[in-house]
Amino acid sequence: MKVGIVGVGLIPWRVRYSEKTYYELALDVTKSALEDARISADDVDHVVWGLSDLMVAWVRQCCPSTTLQDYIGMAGKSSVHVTAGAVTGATAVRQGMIEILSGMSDVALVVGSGKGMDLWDPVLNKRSSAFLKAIMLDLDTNWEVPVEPLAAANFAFAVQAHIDRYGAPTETQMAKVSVKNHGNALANPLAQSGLALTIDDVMNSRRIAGPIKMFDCCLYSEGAAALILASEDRAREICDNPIWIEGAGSSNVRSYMPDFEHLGRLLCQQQSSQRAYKMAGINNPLEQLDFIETHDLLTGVELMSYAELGLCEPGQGGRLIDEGVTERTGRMPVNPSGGMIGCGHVAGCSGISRIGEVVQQLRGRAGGTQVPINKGRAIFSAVGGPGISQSCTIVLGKS
Amino acid sequence: MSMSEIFEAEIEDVYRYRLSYGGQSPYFRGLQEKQLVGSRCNGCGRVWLPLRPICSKCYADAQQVVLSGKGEILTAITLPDSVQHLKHLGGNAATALVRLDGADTCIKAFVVYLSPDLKKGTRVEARFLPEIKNIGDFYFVPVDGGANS
Repeated sequence: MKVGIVGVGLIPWRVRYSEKTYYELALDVTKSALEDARISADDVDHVVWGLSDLMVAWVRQCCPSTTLQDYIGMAGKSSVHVTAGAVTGATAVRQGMIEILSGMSDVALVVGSGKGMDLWDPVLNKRSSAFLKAIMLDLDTNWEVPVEPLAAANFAFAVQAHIDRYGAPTETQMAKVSVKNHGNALANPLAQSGLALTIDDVMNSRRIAGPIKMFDCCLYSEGAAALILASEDRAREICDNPIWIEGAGSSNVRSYMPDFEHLGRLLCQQQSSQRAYKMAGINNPLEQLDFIETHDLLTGVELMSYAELGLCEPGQGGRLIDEGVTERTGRMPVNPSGGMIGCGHVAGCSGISRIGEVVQQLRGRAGGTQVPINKGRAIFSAVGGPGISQSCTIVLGKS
Repeated sequence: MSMSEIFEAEIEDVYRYRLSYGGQSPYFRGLQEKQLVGSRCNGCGRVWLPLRPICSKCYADAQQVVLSGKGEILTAITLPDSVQHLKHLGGNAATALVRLDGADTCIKAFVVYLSPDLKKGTRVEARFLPEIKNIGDFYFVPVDGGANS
C-alpha cells in the first residue's frame, strides 16, 4: 500500500495577514485543498495539525488545534497536533502518511497556519523586533538564549563551523544562493520577496552575525497550507494523477552541544534523507530526481544541504552553485519555488506549503516556476530546531 | 476588508519565573564562586560540562569535577553590535562554542576580545561578572591578548 497526495491548498506568503486570524487562514487553505481534490469535508477521516510549538508565543495558545478543528469544519474527526519547530510541516505529512499506512484512516487532511506578526514591541513601535524575540524560544532558554542575542546566530554557527572545517563556502558563493532564490521567487505568485538582486546587493547588505548578512537570511512570514492525503485505493478513486509519497525519513540529533564530532555538518539531514532515499530506492539523487526543495534557513545552510542530500561531498556545495548546477535551469534545480529566502517561511505550515509546491511541479502545474519533469521524482527536505538539530525528508513521485 | 475596518487591541502577557535548575544547580552555584563545574561519569569516564548527575551516554552516576576554566574555541561567530551587558569591558563580542580542557563536551558562551583574528583553536579562559544569574554572565577572553585578559 502507498499514500497519495490528491489535494493542495496554498495561499500567498505575506509579511502579515492583518485581515485574517490564523483560524481563517486555516479555513481558506482547507477549503482550497478540498476543492482541488474535489471531495468534501465528510470524506476526511483524520486531521493532522502542523502547528509550530512557537504558536504558544505567537498566538497565545498552547492547544490551537482544538479551536481550529471546529473552525475548519472538522469537529468530531480524529486528529493529532504535530510540532517540531521549522520541521513541523514535513513531520506532519510524515505523520499523515503513517496514519494512512496503519490502516486507521483512508483520507487525512494535513493542515497548518502560522501568524507571528500580531506580536508587538511598544518600545520600538515595531512588530518585527517582538517576533524575532519570540522565535528565540525555539532555542534552549537555559543553555542557549542567554548567550545568543540573535535568532539567526544559531544557524550561523552551523555555517561558520562548516567554513572552519572545509574552508568553504565563500561569502560570494553564499550570495549566489540569495540571488538565485530571490530570482526564482520572481516567477512565483505565492512568493513574498521576489527580487532581482545582484551579488553586490547581497554582499553589501547589513551584516547580521559572522559571515551572515541580511539577504543571506530566510524571510519571516504569515501563511497557511493544506494537503489531502489518501490511501492508494482512495487516491485512485479521487483523481487520475495522485502524487505518491515514496519515502519519508526523520532525525533529531544535535550536531554540536554536547557532542561536537559532527560540528560543521547537518547530521540530522544526512540521516533523514538517507532514510527517505532507502525507502524510495534512491541511491543516486543526481540521476534519479528532477529537482529539490530544501530549507534554506540561510544561504550557507542550503549549500551545506547539497552534500547532506547526496549531491556532492561535504564542503563542495559552493562549487555546485558556481557551476550553475542548482539554478532553475541547471542539472539539479534547488528551490525553484524561491525557497524560504525568496518565497516565505513560518515555522509550522511552511513545510506543508513547500510539499504542495513539489506536488504542483510534479503535476506540471507550477506555472512560471515549472522545471522539466523527466524522472518524475523530487524531494522536500526540512531542517530546523536549535542548532539545526531536526530534519524530515519526503520523497514524492508520479508513479 | 480595509485596514480601517480591522479591530486591533494591545494585550500584555507577562510571565515571571523562579526557575529551578534542578540537578544541574551545582553548575550555577559554581559560577557564583567563579568555577566551572562538570561531572565525570563513574561508568564510561566521560566528562560533561555543564555537569549532568547521570551520564546520558551510559546512564551511570557521575561525580562533580571542577575544570580549569581554560580551553579552546571550536567555532565562533562575531557579533557586529557588542553585547549590552558586556559593553563596559571594551572590545568586540562573539558567541563561541568552547571546549574546556578535560571536558568531553562543549559549551556555548560569549567571548570578549580585542584581536580581530578570533578563530577556531584560539585559546581562551573564563572570566566572571560580579553577579551571576545565567550563563550569559560569564565569558571567555583569549589567553594571549583580549579585553581583561
